[in-house]
Amino acid sequence: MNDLLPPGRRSIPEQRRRRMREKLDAEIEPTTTNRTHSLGQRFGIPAVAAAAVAAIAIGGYLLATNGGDDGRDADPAGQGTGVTHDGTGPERHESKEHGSKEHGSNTDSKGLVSTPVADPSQAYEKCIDLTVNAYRLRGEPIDGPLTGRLAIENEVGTTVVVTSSSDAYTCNIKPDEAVSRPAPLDGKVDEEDLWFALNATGNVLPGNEGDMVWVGGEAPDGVTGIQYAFPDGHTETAVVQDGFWALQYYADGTIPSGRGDRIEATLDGADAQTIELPFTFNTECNQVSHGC
Amino acid sequence: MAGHGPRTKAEWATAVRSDPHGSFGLLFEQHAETIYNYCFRQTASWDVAEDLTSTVFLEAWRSRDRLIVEHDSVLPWLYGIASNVCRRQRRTLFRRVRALRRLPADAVQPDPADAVAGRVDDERRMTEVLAVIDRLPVGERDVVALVVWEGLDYQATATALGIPIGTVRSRLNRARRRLSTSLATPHIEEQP
Repeated sequence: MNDLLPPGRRSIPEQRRRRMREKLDAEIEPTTTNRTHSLGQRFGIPAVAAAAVAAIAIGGYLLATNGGDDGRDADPAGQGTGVTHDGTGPERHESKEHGSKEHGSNTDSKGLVSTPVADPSQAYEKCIDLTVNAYRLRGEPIDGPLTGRLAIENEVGTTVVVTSSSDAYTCNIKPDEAVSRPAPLDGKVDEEDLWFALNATGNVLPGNEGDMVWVGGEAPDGVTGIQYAFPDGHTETAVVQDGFWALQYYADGTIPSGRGDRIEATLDGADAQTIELPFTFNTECNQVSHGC
Repeated sequence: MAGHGPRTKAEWATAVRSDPHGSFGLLFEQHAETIYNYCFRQTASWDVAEDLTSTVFLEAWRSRDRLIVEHDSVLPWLYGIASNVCRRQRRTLFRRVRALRRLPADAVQPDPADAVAGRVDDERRMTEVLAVIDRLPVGERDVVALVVWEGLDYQATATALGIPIGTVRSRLNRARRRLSTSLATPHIEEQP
């Protein structure tokens, strides 16, 4: 029994404690001088009040107001259609102008192909339950009922996109159970909407410490395809369908995620571009589960 | 920042807005040691634990909009961040630790400059413990670490890991079964 008890606690050596504190203070300092505008956004303080706090950061103020609730699409996609909280009757989301093209024949390092789930109603229901529960635990409201939009699967994983009246949420319901942060349904290309979740699969594939990356959401206006090129050389193509997209990549091992490693997210279509995503707490932790 | 500091999420928002250094400084002073020991128990290295503790508080600051208060405490939220930070670190350490385990015990010599006997003993002991605990799936390992080693209740553990309380119970039960069939069984108290 005692074999599994850890050693007793220790204090942080004073010098190292001081260094940690200095590092934290240094991190706080530039934020409070240059990015004070974001505080209002972070804590839901009205943009005007945030601007008053950060009067000198005019550019930041503009960012804060444009990125807040006011900037969201007033007519979010598919409100009230599809599978809702009761999980009944999958109904196709009204196709958006950019969203009817399908991609999805892609193969990962284990030869897995992610394709849309034939009957996604159960997947939607599961994701909706997870999302409602996760946000209830956090005490954060969800705007209106959730609607299933897209579910993809391969032999290892299932990733699902659902929407509220204002945001998209992505779930990994297999092999893990996790929910993303909300992404505004605004049709814009926003780097934050490309942030992903990376989960170790050891808890569901015992003995295997492989990495599972999953991400999804609303396809930005004009975007017809999305690919992620990983530092291990693998490129995964997202399934894009009816204005929504989802991508999952199971690496049979650890994806290199050091300081210099990057994922390149390439968007095809009218506004084609490639966005580099370094591995940081934010970019690889775009979920409200697992301590993110 | 007088007294015990902020309690509710609203109080935290106000404190961070009006006095970011004071509020996060207090957070650090109150919880750094707890997180430091937690990180050690995840990595079996005091040096790595120091780095990770620093990272946890930096990430906490960057994630302050997502701060969670559970029963007037932000500690479960910090544990959640720490779990994630340590998990990422474990991925990096995984191969190194396996390689070290393959070496004979006397082949791993501590750096003389850091050769504080107690710390070295701790690390050796913790490596042995993790060798057993690492046989558990990641989710179960996290629950064991928080409930058994850190003494969190089920609700706080659920908050820390972002999972339902029922999942905490089931993972703990599965961990107990797995451990009882391997080497030894830790004393895991049932909670009401």
